[in-house]
Amino acid sequence: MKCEHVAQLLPLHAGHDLDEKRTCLVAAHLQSCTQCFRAANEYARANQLLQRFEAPFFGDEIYAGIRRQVLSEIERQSQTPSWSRAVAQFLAPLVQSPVSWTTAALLVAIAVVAFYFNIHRWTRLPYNQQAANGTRTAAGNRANFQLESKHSSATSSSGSLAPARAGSTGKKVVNAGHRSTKRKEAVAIARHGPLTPRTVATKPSVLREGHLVQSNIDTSPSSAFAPLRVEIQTRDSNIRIIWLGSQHRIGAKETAKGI
Amino acid sequence: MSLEVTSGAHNFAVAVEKRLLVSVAQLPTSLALLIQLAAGGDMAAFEQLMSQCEQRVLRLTWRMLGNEADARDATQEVFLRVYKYLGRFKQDQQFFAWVYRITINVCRDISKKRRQYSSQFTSMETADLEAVLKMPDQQADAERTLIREQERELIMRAIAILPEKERAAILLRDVEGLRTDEVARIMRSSSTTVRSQISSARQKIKLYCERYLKREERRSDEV
Repeated sequence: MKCEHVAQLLPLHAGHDLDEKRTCLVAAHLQSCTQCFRAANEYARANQLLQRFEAPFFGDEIYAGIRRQVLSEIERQSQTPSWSRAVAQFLAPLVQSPVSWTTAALLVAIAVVAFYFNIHRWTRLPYNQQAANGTRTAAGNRANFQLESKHSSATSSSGSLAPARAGSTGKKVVNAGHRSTKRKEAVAIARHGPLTPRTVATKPSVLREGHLVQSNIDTSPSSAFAPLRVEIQTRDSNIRIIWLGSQHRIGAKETAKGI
Repeated sequence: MSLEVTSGAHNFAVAVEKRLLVSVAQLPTSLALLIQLAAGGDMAAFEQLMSQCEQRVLRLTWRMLGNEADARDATQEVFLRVYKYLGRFKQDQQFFAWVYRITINVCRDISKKRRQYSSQFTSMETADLEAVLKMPDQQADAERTLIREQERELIMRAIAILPEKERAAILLRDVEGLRTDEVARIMRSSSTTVRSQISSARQKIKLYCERYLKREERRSDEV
C-alpha cells in the first residue's frame, strides 16, 4: 500500500471506521513507515481531544428555566388562535344556527355551479378545434353550418337550383352529423346549388368566443367531380387547416392538414 | 367544529390540572408511554419527556452553536418542535435519533440567522479563559483546568471552521459516540457520505490543531 492511499485512510483509521481488511493493511503499512505512523499519532491525538470535548456544566435551574419557558410558550400558542381556528370560529355560528342546512346546501350549490363552469370553460377549446377539423361533433356541425350559410348567401346571386343529390353531397362535405342541422344544411344547399362553380372568401368569423377564423370555400369551376376545398385560417397565423372533400364520393378524400 | 376549537385549550387545562394533582414520581416512566401521552396533549408527560433528553439536547446545541445563549434558545425551539410534531413520530423510530435530527435542523436554522458564530464563540471563550485565570491559586487543579480549557478552546475553534454538515457529523460520531449508520439516519444521508464528511472533518481538525500548536510554540519561543 502506498503512502498516498494510507494518508487518505488515516482519518477513518483513527476513528476505527475502516473495515477489517483495510485496517489490517493500514496497520501493516504503519509498522513500516515512520512518516505515516507520525501522522496516525497526530490523528489519534486530535481524536482524543475531540472525545474529551465536553460541554460546560449546566445547572438544574437552567434546565428548569428551559422547561418553564417551553411550557409557557406552548400555553401561549394554544390560547392564540391560529388562522384555521379563526376560520372555524367564524363558521361555527353558521353551522350551529337553524339555517345551517340551508347554508350548507347553498355552499354546495355554489361549489357545483363553479365546478360546472370551470369544466365547461376548459372543454371549449377542444370543441373549436374539432369544428375546424370537421369532426362529427355538435360544435363542429354548428361551426360548419355557419360557414355554409355564409357561402350560400354569397352565391345567392346565381339563382340556380341545385339537384337533390348534389345538395346531399354538399351537406356531407360540409360535415353533417347532427340530424337537426343536417336538414337545415340540406335545404340551404339545395336552394343555391353546390354544383355551381363558386369561390367564396368569407370575412373573419367567430366560431366560438375569442377564436377568430378566416375561412375560404373553394369549389372547382369546371367539374362537378372536382374536390371541394375549404381553408380555415386559425387565429395562429402559422396554422391553416385545409380540408379537401370530393363532391362525388362523400367524404372520400377528406384530409386535414396543418401548415 | 367548535368542539375542535375548544378541545386544545381544554386538553391543556386538564393537563395543567393533572400536573398539579399528580406528582412526577407517579407518572409512567416508560419512554414509549410518555411519548404516547405527550402526543395526546398530556403536558406532565411532555415535561417528563423533556427532562429525559434535555441534557443531550442542550450539550449538542452548545457544541453546535458555541455559546450558551444560543444553545438555550435552540433547546427551547427543539422542544417546541418536538411538541408540535410529536403526533408524526412513529413508534418504530428511535426517539433520540429523531430528537437529534430536530436539534441539528434547529441549530442550522439558528446559525443561518446569526452568521456571527465565530465572533460570539471567540468572545465567549475569552471570557471563560479569563474566568479560569482569575481562579484562586490555592486550587490544586487550577493548572489542569487551564489546560483543559485551552484544549477545549482549541477544539471549539477547530469545529467552528467546519462546514455545518461536517460539524454535525463529527459531533454526532466522535463526541456523542453514535455509529456511522445512526449518524447517516439522523442526517438523512448515506453512510458513505457521512464517512466522507467525518474523514474530511478529522483532516481539517488535525491540520488546525497542528498549525495552532506550531504558532503557539513559535510565540513562546519569541517570548
